[in-house]
Amino acid sequence: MGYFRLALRNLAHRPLRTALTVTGIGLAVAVAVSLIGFNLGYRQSIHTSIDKLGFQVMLMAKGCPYEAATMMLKGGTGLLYLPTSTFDEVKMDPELAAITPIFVGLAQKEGGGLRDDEGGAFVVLSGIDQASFLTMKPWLTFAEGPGREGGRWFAPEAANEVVMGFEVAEYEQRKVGDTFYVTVTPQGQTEPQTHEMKVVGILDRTGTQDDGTVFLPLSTARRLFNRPDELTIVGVKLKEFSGVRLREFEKRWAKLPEVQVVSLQQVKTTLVSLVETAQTMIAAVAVVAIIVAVIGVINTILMSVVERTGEIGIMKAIGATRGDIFQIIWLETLAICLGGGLLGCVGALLGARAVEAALRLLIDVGAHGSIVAITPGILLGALGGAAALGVFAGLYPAWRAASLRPIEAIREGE
Amino acid sequence: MTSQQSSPADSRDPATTGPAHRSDVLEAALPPAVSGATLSSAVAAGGVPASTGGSGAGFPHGGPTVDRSPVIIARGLVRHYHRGSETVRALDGVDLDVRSGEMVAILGPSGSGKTTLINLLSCLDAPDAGTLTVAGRPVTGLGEEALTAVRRGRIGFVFQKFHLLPALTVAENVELPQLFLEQPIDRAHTLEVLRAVDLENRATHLPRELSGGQMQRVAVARALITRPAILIADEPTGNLDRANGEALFALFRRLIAQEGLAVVVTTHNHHLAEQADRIITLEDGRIVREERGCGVGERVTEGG
Ligand SMILES: Nc1ncnc2c1ncn2[C@@H]1O[C@H](COP(=O)(O)OP(=O)(O)OP(=O)(O)O)[C@@H](O)[C@H]1O
Ligand SMILES: [Mg+2]
Repeated sequence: MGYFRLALRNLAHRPLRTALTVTGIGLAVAVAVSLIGFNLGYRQSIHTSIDKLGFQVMLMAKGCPYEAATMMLKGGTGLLYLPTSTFDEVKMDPELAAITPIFVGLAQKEGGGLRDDEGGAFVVLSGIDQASFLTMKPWLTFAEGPGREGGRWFAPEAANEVVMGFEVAEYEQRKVGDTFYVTVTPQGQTEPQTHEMKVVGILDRTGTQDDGTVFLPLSTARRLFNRPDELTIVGVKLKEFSGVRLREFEKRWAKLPEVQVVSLQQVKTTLVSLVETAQTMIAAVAVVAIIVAVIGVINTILMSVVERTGEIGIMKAIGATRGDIFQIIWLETLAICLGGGLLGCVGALLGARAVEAALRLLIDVGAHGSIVAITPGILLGALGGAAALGVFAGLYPAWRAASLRPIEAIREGE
Repeated sequence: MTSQQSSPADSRDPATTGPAHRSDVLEAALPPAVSGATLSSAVAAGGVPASTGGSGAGFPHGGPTVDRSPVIIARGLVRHYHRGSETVRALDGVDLDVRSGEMVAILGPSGSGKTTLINLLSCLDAPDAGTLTVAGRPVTGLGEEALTAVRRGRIGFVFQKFHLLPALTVAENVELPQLFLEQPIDRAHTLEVLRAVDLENRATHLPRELSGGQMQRVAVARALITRPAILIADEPTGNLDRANGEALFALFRRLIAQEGLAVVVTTHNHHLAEQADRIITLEDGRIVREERGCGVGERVTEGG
């Protein structure tokens, strides 16, 4: 029988007290694990959401409406344009992960204006630089199924090819290979011109504005609108997306007179920071829970040391050194904390689903995927943390026990 | 060095024995299952532990009377306790020799310094003045850890309270000193020792399932497991009834006879003290009387 077994036997001898102490640690660990898991999972899903939007930041002309699509669908004509030079300048920013130029224009629907009440008489045209646009939105794929076979991107300079988003294709009832008439009024003219385009691909549903957009090559779009050197949006993806980085980026580029920096993610960012605030508070609660649990452990072990004063004295009398006693008491504390850690991990795993369900119910998390992500790393960390707490919590009681002088311990024990 | 000087009681004639009938009564008090040879043979089979080396501390196998040199030599032991400005002269100059194979009983009124003396003799405490040699090792001026090193394996303890670990079985309690000494644990040996205290069939019981007398015998077995040269018992019968007290002293006598142990025991009971070879009476920290006991053991020693 080694000291560890001896320690376990001592603990098993006081089952209720041991169980209560272990449960206390277990609860604290479970709370901590769940919170860390929630933190990780939520961040992951927020980041997934952010990534899904492709670019996190847009540069637009000052005064241009933020929610461009909405404004346009309502027939708004407030679109403003940036010179291409802005794009060339911003391209040099060191924090950039990717950048893409976009030219947005409105086309009248076929039969112009007749279907106004059905969601607008306009179609959003997006002139894109295919290569950089796809770098940002690599998930864009072509829909399958009858009438959609053989979807592909247009040739980069194609003058009469378009790719349609899923919804606009449904709405306009287009198949791959169909003709789509684009009616636009070029700059400097009053009469609209109609161009015959060919639908070369229909995109899969993404759940974003892209579903309602008709894509065509950037150069073609500029030519149609007669704005050869202008852009509507410069889409930017930062290397590292955080509030701080974003503000830094804004500061750098807001100095350009005509430019406003708009974060598509302002809402999400707000959400993240809100969650962070809540997490700080909950983390504080977790820390308090852990401190309380540790104090509980120290108290329990100290109490059992005092109770066993006589026993400890006799152990020293019959040959136990300070080190022996220290080890035994210390191992008892460690065992309690490790047991609590294990219990907490199991509890957190079991509770994760419930917690997740509750969270989804209580707050609109606006996130994809699992919110509580309890990884093996977190569990190992929790066990390690519990062991560290045990090591720490055991020091004082073990030292107290080891320092008992045998004669006094035996006297007191009598 | 005056270590070889004998105290007056030491010079008693070994032939002087206690009344035969008396020892018969005590033998009768022993459980019949106790086989006198078992512990001895087990010890002999296990060899002499190195820890019992030193002047006169070895186990005298095959007969306890061979080596009668002192295993404890105390000269002028002083131990004062300080309580604020007041000094309690708990021990005030005590000379004492204890030899292998003898039982020394310490009598005295409460507060006379019995426990204080026994704590010094058993290296649980260090004297303020005087010299002390235990199992051939001078222990004067040693620190706590060094005292532990001297104690370990050489001195067995029995206290008024049994202080068994409630979480451990009888056998595990008995083996505890071996755990601390990092000796290999041999359950067969444990059972031998338990048989010597007639508790072989209780090895797997928990202490709470035993009577007081049985618990004290477990404590004795625990004290004996490392084959110490010295057994120290501070009021071991304090929590026992008369019959159990007598049985315990009889057990001590038998162990002395078989193992050549030196036993130092304190008691308030004159009747029990009578069974020692020597009876020392303490008063106010001084030895006021040394008497020869009934020397019950001598009869056994002489092979009677
Ligand atoms: N740790 C201590 N601190 C102060 N005084 C002490 C201490 N231990 C013992 N004493 C005092 O020393 C004296 C001797 O005490 P000791 O315990 O040796 O007596 P004793 O003969 O064993 O008594 P009893 O028969 O009641 O056990 C007493 O006056 C006691 O009050
Ligand atoms: Mg006493």
